[in-house]
Amino acid sequence: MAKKVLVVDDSPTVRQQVGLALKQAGYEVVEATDGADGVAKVGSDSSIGMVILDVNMPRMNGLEMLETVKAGGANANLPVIMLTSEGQQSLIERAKKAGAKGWIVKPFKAELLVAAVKKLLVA
Amino acid sequence: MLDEELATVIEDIAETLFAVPIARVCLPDDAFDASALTACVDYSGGFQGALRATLSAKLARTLATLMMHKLRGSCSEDDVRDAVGEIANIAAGNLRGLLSVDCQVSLPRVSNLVVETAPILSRAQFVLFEEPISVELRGVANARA
Repeated sequence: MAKKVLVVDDSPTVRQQVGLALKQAGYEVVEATDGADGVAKVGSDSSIGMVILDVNMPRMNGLEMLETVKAGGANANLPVIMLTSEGQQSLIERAKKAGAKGWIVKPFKAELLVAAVKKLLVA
Repeated sequence: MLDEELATVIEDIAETLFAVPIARVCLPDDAFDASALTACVDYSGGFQGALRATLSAKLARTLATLMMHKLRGSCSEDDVRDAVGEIANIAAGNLRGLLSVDCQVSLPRVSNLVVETAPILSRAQFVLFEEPISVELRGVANARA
């Protein structure tokens, strides 16, 4: 069975880009449109194996979702890669402290993203 | 001035997302018609300002088609606006790291250039609690509606 990756981004363009790259690499992809939607999806689908997470989103941003998921017991070990246009050190450190496994800055190369996902889902 | 940094960010976006070189030029004042799109991302906090990107409707549609891996002509207006907003979002986020102050970026908003530059139809100005308020209505009739 294909490993399932949750892509959380408010932009349909980015969800489409990331989703296509992951599907071509053999992963199953589910989508969430913001952090609150992402928390709900993670909570209701135990087959999700990892999360690709944007930072700047409406309702609940990516860092808030990360901190919520990591504090939530059952999903505390779910690997999360942040995929964002943001490169500020303070944000990277906050994400690292909350348990993010990677930080990829947009614009991104699909090969780089897939390689990062592969590495984490094998580990 | 961040001219070189801004140019580098845009060149990087073009190369990474579209795999094409982008030529830096000086555009004439009338480079855009009324159908052009403008994407804007605001900065707040230690730096107050905005990044604004304007591009022709034709280019916006081409870029959206490439970004979303769709067939030519199959992108909706919403797709095009989202793609243009995402490009501005990437540029604004990349530049934020170069501003050497702690600041926040807004979500992108996209409108037609004609909206941004439309004439003022109505304006009312007031003083409230001894402070000024100015409210304007801008716009033009949309011949395509």
